Amino acid sequence: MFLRNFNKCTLVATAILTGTVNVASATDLEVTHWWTSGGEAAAVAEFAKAFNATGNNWVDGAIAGSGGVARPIIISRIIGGEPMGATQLNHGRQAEELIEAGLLLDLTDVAEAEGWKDVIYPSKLLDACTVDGRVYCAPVNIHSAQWLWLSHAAYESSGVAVPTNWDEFVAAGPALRANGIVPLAMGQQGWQVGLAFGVLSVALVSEEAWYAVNRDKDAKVAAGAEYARVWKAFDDARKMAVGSNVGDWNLATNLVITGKAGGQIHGDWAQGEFSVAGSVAGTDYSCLPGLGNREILDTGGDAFYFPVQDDAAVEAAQKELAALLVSPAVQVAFNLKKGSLPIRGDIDMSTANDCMQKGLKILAGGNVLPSDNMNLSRDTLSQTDELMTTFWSDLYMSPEDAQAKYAKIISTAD
Amino acid sequence: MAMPLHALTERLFIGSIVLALAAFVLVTVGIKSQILESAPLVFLLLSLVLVIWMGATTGKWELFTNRLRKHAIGWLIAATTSAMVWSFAQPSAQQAIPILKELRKVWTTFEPFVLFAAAVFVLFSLVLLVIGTRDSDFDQPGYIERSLVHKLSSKIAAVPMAFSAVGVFVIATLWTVYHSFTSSRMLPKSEFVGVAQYERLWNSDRWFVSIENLAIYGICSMVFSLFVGFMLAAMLDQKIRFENTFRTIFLYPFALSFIVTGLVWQWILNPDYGVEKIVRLLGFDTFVFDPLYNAEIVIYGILIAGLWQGTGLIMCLMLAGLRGIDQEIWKASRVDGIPMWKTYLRIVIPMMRPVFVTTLVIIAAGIIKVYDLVIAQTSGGPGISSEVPAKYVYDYMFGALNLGQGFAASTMMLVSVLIVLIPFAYLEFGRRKHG
Repeated sequence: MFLRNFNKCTLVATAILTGTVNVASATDLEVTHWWTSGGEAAAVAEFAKAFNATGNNWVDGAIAGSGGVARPIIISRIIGGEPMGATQLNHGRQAEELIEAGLLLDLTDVAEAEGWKDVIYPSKLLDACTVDGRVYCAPVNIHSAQWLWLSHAAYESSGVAVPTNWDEFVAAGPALRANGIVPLAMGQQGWQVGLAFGVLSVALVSEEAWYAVNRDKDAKVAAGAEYARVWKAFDDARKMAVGSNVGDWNLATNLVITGKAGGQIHGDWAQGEFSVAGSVAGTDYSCLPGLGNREILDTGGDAFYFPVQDDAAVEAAQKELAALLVSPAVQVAFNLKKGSLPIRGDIDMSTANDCMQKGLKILAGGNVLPSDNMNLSRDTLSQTDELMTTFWSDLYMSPEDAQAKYAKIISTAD
Repeated sequence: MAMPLHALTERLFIGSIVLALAAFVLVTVGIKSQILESAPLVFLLLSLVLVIWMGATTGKWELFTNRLRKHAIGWLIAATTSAMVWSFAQPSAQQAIPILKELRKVWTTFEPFVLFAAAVFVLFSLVLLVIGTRDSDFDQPGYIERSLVHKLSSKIAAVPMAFSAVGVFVIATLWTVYHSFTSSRMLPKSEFVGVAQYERLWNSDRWFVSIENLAIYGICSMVFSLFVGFMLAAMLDQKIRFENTFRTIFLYPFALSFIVTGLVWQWILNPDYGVEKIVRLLGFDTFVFDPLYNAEIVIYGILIAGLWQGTGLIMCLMLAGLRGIDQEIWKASRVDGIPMWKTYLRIVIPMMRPVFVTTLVIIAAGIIKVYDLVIAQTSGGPGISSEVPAKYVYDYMFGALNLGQGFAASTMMLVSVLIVLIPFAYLEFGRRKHG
């Protein structure tokens, strides 16, 4: 009896298996990504729709959790010889070694045929995909970190005006504190604290000094007077954040939305939370790019990489997808859902909201910087994140000590 | 003298063929270094010389005596396999003969297994080379063949176990230690940097915090879970009513995973809606209890959850040990008028020595591997104040994509475990042998 049942089971299983194989044509492409929240999933569905329309088949391989969870899975699959058709990664230096090992597909011919050099704006995005003159990834959106999100309700109830730059924000802190409101919301995770430091340094030091530290790894500048100002501001920030006992970034954003906290330093992806909560930019909350001190944004974001596969049909589909991701119609559909900025300067984004428009204007003005992921290796970034979060939680650690440690990390950075 | 010498050459011959094969495989698979590339050729040449030499020393110049033929065939097989394996790896050969490329694809699928088998063979041949010298049976011709066939079925049955044991405990460990001296980043590579990774490790604040936390967690959980576990067991052993119910209640936390335990205790210890809030609602307005948000004491917050989860199991083990004590001993001590606590301390606990050893091993293993509890409760925060070594290893290997640093940390973990384990094993097993 058992055996008969077992046979039935295998029969059914084989039927199912062969069935899927039949449905799936030769140009199946498994695409892995970590866009699993509501807005993100809707955005990625735009890609899938457009790709399926070309006669190919998008096999969705969403990995729940953030990049920190998904990245090791994706990379070990590529290294382990089980590559997917395409995968999301943050462009920059994460894929460096994969490219050196010859594991990622060279997209130079697609880039030339589609004229990516002329349409992708800012051009730094394409540079981040280029190694030795060859293009290895297709950028799909721009996310910038340099935003300060402010709750109007928190400031109005405390009787102070909504700040328009960092110094006003710090000055308004005591008034909020007296009103029982935490001036600055901050999730207790290394990368969020590290992000805040990055934002402060972009907003408070000169561009030369910033490049000297982040691009040229000059430890002297990192230990110098200009960066001392960043550490002073970071010291203010950690004192203002005392009392915000939350972990994930969206919980911190929620404190701002509900007026329990004055503001949050976070990337533009926080905007999704505001719109889900029904808040209106300008009346319920406001956003200050570059903390209101310097209107400048970095150009981090997401890109798709295509692991090398030993199959001409798959390779053709990969290149088709690469071209599609950058094409104008797909860019508009995707970025409106995602709340991120498009990577092309030549498309119409007039339906975007207030804060996105601000971002677009800055992009058009060319005030952009390469993101941390482009300048520093993951190894260095985890060390700085570690330092930032130690400093943040250990109120006895002086800014001077922390700056010395920071300079030491920069001196060994790569 | 002729016989043992002959056996020695035979041994060397087999050893060199196996080494040559293994080295070829290693080269193909991609561990390309200067030594490995020339090693197989040297070994093959050596075995060829040995075959000829064996033919010469037997005195008979007919090549096809029974034993010599076997050796010659063995060499041919080794040589052709090696050549084949080698040619798969050569791009020029692949271009000349397209079918090789297809073969190469098949080969690639089996690569991990082959690599693994090769490593096992290398160890096996080394064992053959070394052990034989102490074994007089080995000097008789044909020993290797006979010993391979002897009790063949049990040997075959032991193969999977031997493979996984050798693979996991020996090869993987050696591989990890080897790469901890390299500058490996995302991919393991053989660029030696000496002890630079260790220098960086021991200069890192986070590593020190991790070690300190593990020490606090380890000592406290060792002491408390043994003490509390034993006390609970001793109380349950007093023939109380509803013993089953209590036992179930105390053991129940053990049925939960560390992740669930961690989450539950994260909520309980959260000042906004946990213990602190409840006590404040009771009217104590200044009451403060936020271990998970205070860098100084966060590790104790984790310890509480760990103890809550693990003590039940310790209690059960202890209870089983107590039930194993003969009731006559209790009766005898009662007749002698010895107080109960003294009976426990002087008689029962010494009799429970084996139970205590088992318990200690279980607790120690739990301490070293503590990771998921930290992830669920604090993710290492606030700051880096609740980091543990296992998390350091994971974060550097997969988060920071710096394998070398992660390997150095895991090697340090291994060393510290060995430092504790070796004297312990020596005491425990050494004594048994003498006694």
